[in-house]
Amino acid sequence: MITFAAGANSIDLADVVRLRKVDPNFAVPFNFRAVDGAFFVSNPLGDWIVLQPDELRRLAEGDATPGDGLYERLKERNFIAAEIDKAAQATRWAGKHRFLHYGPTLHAFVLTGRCNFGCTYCHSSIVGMHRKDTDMSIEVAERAVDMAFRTTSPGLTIEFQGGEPLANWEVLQHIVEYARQTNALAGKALSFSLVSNLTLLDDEKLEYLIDRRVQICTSIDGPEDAHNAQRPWKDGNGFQTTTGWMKTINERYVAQGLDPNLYRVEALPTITRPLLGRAKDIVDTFVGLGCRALFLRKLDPFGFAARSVRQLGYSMDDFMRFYMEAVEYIIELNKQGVQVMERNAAIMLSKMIADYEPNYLDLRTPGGAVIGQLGYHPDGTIFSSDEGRMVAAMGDNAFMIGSLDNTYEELMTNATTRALVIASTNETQPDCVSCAYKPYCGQQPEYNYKTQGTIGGRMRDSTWCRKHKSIFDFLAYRLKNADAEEMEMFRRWTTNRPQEHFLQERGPI
Amino acid sequence: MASHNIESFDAATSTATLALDGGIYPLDVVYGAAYALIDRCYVLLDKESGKGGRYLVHLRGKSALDEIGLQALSGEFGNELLSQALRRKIVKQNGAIIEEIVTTAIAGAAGATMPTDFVVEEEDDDLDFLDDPLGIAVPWEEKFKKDKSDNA
Repeated sequence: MITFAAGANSIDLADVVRLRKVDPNFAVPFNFRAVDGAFFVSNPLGDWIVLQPDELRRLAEGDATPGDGLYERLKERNFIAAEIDKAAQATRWAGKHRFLHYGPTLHAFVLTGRCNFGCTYCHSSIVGMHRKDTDMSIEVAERAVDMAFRTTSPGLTIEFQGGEPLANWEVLQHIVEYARQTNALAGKALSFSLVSNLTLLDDEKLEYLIDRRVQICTSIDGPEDAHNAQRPWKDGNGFQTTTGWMKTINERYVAQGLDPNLYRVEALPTITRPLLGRAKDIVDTFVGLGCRALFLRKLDPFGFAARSVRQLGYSMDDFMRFYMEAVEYIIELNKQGVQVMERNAAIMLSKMIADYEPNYLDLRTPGGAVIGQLGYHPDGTIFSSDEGRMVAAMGDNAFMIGSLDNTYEELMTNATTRALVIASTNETQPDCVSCAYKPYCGQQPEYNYKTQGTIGGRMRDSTWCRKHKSIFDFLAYRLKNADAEEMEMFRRWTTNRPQEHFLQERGPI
Repeated sequence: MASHNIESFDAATSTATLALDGGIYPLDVVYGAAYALIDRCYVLLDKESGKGGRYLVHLRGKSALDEIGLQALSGEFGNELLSQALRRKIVKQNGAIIEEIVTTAIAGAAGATMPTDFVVEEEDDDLDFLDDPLGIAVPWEEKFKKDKSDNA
């Protein structure tokens, strides 16, 4: 049986684990959570183990000795304080938290507020195509690139966002050229990413994007009827046009000799209420398009989505039913030889079974606001993240940390930044501090603020927490019961192969 | 019931009034919880007269609220109060580790620390790339500065 987060994990510990005398010196600090009649137990290093109730009692009481089975299992997973190699574990912890030592890696450039689509759930609060006054100018673009390159990170990604960023093509091109020139001196690991509906693409633009190694991402919301209903485009069939370009781009990658398993247009669905009953249809659509991964995104509380929640929204239980159906189906397809994965699960599994920190900004601690990412608005104001500027698009500048008139150091150290870093540190959060999934999880102050009124939020009744804890519960259940074939599949999902083709040349160009 | 002593609701004015024991909730926790609700209601804080008098929290809905709505608002305030109080306690308990993490993160982002393996070695054998045909090395202040006469 799978139990879900926030209250539903209602096993009465006293009924199943009869503690006599706890030995506070035997085990390292640990948290635990009931999973399928047993306990998922984790330590601050990110190790975990599934224990039966009496084994949990023995861990707490120090009732295990060298040579017995439980002791050796606990020792192997770094749960026995006296057996810890502190220096090695400190190095391991530091390695997984390297991100603490450098600044924002993701720089979201909002090139325009204009968009030719009228998505029912749009997170960005877009405007009509005639509103060129919402475009980013060349001047702002260059200053934003200059700011982005001030990051202390050895690598940075400039992500073109909108509206529809292809609507401001001249500035997009200029940013690419200007950043490449800047990088001739900076020598950073520079990459570009375009988030587009692709309908404004043409052969000339594609040639440029391919030549300049700009990674291309788009949105597909499932089967054609569902996609076109959610993402209406007055000029034609959005599904056919977008998927047509996906096919063309993927063929270009193959023609360049790139591994088609690694280099493909990434497409993301946004799950709305009408899609909840169509989990298999959505997976089949992505598989049919040749996608190797789905990122099943819950509806955000930002932009138009916040206003259309009555028509499009759903409960977290509804989402989790959908999510589990989709992932169970993906697992089934994998067993039939189809290579496809779900990204939320892959990110979490990377942390849980590959001991790898993928630096996914929404699921780390401290969170990615400011110190992991910045959002650049066309008017030169700078936000804590893409979500921060979405809140601003709703008339609230709570997450505006400054502008291009500030210095980089001012942005990184101002009061708002400090508050966001503290708020998104798990060690400050009731519930998070005692959660078994704490080593793998994180939260987003912008989401907390929009849904609960404070940047700290309250995890106990937060839909953010409920979603992530529920997915962790699901994965813990699957890991507990996985056979060798499933474990091999999960490990394959965590394989991290960097897409080096998208890195720009370092040094002179 | 005890709750009658600490909560009262007036649907005619859409106002919930709560009386809080200052011995349980520090004033900054009351401020924090009250602030979290100001998008939904108008908040007025007061204090009963006399030594040991309780804090009085008046929550007046920005839109009309019946008694059920006022109960929900009051409940939301109570939960936020508990959350803020517990967070305050946890932050105090974990103060050292929080300070270490936050300081490292902000210093790392701002440039106060830079692990040596991230330092880019300077190239000095070929400086042709320093040619600047697009003028990108020109500070933006110079490139885009307005003619002072424009401001006249």
